[in-house]
Amino acid sequence: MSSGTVGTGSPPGHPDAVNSVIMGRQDYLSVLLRLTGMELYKLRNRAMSAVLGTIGVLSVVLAFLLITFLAVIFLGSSATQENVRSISQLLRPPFSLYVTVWVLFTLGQVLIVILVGAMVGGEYGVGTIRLLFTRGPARGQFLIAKMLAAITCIAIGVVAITLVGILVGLMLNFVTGIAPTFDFFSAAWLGYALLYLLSTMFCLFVYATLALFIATLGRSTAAGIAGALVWIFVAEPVVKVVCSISAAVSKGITADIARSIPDYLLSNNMSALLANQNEGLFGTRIASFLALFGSFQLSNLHTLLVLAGYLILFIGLAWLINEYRDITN
Amino acid sequence: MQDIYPQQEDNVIISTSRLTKAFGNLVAVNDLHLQVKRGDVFGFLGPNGSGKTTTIRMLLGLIRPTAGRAILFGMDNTYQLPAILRHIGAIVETPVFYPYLSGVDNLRVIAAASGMLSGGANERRIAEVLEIVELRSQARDAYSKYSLGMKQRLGIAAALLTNPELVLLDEPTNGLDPGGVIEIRQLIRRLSELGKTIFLSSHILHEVQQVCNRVAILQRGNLIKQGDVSELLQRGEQILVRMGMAEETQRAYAILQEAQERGARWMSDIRVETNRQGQPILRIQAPMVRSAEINALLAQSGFFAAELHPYEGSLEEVFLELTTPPTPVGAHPGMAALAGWQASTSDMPGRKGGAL
Repeated sequence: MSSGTVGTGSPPGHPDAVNSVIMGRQDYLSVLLRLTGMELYKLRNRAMSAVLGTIGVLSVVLAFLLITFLAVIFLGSSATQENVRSISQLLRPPFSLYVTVWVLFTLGQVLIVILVGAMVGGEYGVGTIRLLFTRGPARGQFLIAKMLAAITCIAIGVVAITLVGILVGLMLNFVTGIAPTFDFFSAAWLGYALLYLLSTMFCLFVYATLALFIATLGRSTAAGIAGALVWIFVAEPVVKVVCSISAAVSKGITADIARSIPDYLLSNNMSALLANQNEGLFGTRIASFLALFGSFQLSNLHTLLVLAGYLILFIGLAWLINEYRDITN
Repeated sequence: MQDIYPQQEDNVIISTSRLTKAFGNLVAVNDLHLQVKRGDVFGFLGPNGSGKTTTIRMLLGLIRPTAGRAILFGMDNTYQLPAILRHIGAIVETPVFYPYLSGVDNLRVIAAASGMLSGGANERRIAEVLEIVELRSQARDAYSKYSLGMKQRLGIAAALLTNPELVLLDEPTNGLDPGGVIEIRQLIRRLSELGKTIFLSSHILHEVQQVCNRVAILQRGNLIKQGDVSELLQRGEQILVRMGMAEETQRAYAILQEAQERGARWMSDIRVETNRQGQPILRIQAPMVRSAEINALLAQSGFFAAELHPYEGSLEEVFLELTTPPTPVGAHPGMAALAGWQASTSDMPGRKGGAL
């Protein structure tokens, strides 16, 4: 059905003054896009979104200020020019990209969990879910709209904060007196950087779907946020420790299984996916150095398949609950 | 047993057949057969916990029936819910909106969710519905600062936003002051005059009696009566008689009982009660047109009524009659049912001894 008006045209203020009702297109995609716009409109008018965005930007700025502070200390000390150059290179591209994405990913997983947990759980907590579900679109469309809104927020957040991080790094770099060089810059590097940012967005989206699933299951903001954070910061680390102890104390197939379980955890696969992009961005030597902070011998294909599996699981379960649950609150 | 797919007449907007919802062992709605016709102002009555909201939620697809079907606008809501919902504006229980948005922003969100074009295209319509519910001056205030009455009004504005054919209102006057209740009543009448079908769920019987042409009465999940309000009120027609002297009341009672046994079956129930002044009266369940015959019956036996008063009755009394088991002669009728109803009713007028 195409867009159009309904009604007969009564005087304004009259209950049937409906010639001004202008309906939009009612095909699946148009409805979905309108609902996504609606979700973004709600987010835009919510103080929480501004607070989370500000926290994200400030964290990156603070990280670069800290690096600058260290570089200034080195400059004032008897450190060699080489030491100053080493520490201050984190302020300049391409390494400022690494710093930005590291901060963004570390903090971003918490921020996106809060955002999506509140976005989904809040509908149940406040009771607006029944307002939405009685308006016409299918339940699944509301769920997809929330995911599309989350993707939009992640994309805008990652791109904006990355740009802010790189610009802040360049500005603060003036303190060191070392001019930035852009000899690393090439079409291939740009491709890798794009892939790096897309990988970051993808990882954050997986965490968003985790919050989406738990908030839908728990029917509250608190459940969505707490559940997802417990998964990320408690459950997975505990599983890693348990597996590592089991692998150490057992033998044979049990030890093999215990050793391989962490390869299927969210955090390990995300870290591996991001680490796998380092070589193309920062060169083999630096990539090897960065790998010291966390070595994940997982291929891109493995990580993508595992993360896609989690995505299907989280979205599928949220979809099922959303579709078949009785709305009784 | 009726067919699970109800017969669908052209003018029937809502038709349910054997609609049932159980939450574990609790049967909230049992085997419900409802028919709401186009243009009806349909009152859906019952005390709190009788299954009204559960039924509304099933009609709107918020909860799935355990058994049975609901057909709205000729479509089965199990399979064609989105198409059905486009014709409906609804308030389910206390309206809730996004507390961090203003009233007008909430309506913009609802407009987008309802399939209306966004981006300012429907600003005029939003202004109109705000005008209808008299919220225009507070439209830009945060919803979290709204009083309960204002929230109800915003709920009604949201329900009217798309100019729906069917307006489904669940306890729309909750939290409203008397002036607000009257305004909502007038609004319902205006909407009805415009040909809209109104499904009004309420536990306030006199409110329903004033605006509805048809009602269904629900008790503990069971439909106990459905029909025209005028027909139901005929059931409640009574004649109240006060004798000149109190001691004559028992004698008059015996005379009328005897007449009933002799064949005056139009008197279905005769009771002795006490009026507000503490005087004994006779309450006779009979058509008003029989007042003169009652007077004559008493006069023939040498008793003369000090007052004889036709009493139209009310939905409240119809409800009591329908839900109360037979009581002994002279006992106050329907105390159990009334107690149950009053426990859930704040502004229902208490049952008095008629107008005498």
